[in-house]
Amino acid sequence: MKGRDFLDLAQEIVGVGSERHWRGAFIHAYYALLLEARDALLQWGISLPPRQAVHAEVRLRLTYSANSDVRDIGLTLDRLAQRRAWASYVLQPHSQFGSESAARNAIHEAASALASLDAIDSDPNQRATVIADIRARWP
Amino acid sequence: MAATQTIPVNITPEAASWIEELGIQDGVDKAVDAATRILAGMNHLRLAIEPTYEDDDFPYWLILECHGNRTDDEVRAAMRKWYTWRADNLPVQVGRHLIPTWIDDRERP
Repeated sequence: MKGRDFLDLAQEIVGVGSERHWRGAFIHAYYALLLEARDALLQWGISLPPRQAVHAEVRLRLTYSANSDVRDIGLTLDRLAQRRAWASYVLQPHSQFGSESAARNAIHEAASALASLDAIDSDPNQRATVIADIRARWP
Repeated sequence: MAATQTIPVNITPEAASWIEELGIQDGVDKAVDAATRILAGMNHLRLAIEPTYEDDDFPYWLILECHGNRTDDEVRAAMRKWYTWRADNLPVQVGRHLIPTWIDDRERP
């Protein structure tokens, strides 16, 4: 199984009709992108800490990249992380993203970021530059 | 916290306490100033903490809650510029704590 399979699950459940479904969509959209980004970094030979610290460490390696496309993936992951935290743990309504439409937007953002990640990974020159930059910042 | 330019900046007591505990006041001041310069159309900024629920060494995010009369999509390009500013100007040890969020005040009940 691949991390992006969770995005399919998010899409399957977001419109089922109840709050638990679109909250679930937020959660799965976040993990789809987080896990794909984590696995890309690991495949590129970038070491990451184990377990729970991986959330912040993946986001930081992306948002501190010199590559603007990689930074944008990180920006998306920051946004999705905030929504995931609320969807999972805060059962009170959220005025800004407590809705099915906001969950659908999150799915769209994750999909766009995944497409960008795939484009970077499939371009050997760009990928090599991104890897070198990350390794320079995190020796 | 004093206003930056003409944009009011408010900070919750919990955020002030967390900033002091982390020792990152200077970085926060710079980040707030950058946000007020980069995110056009901001009416006011509120600094607050949110739990990350990520069970690592830092239990909170410091949220730069940026309020204005524009949509989230309309400010996306400016948000990218703020993230570029953060990468260029704040070390990871400081920047890692800061997440900007845009609030379209026209949508608030």
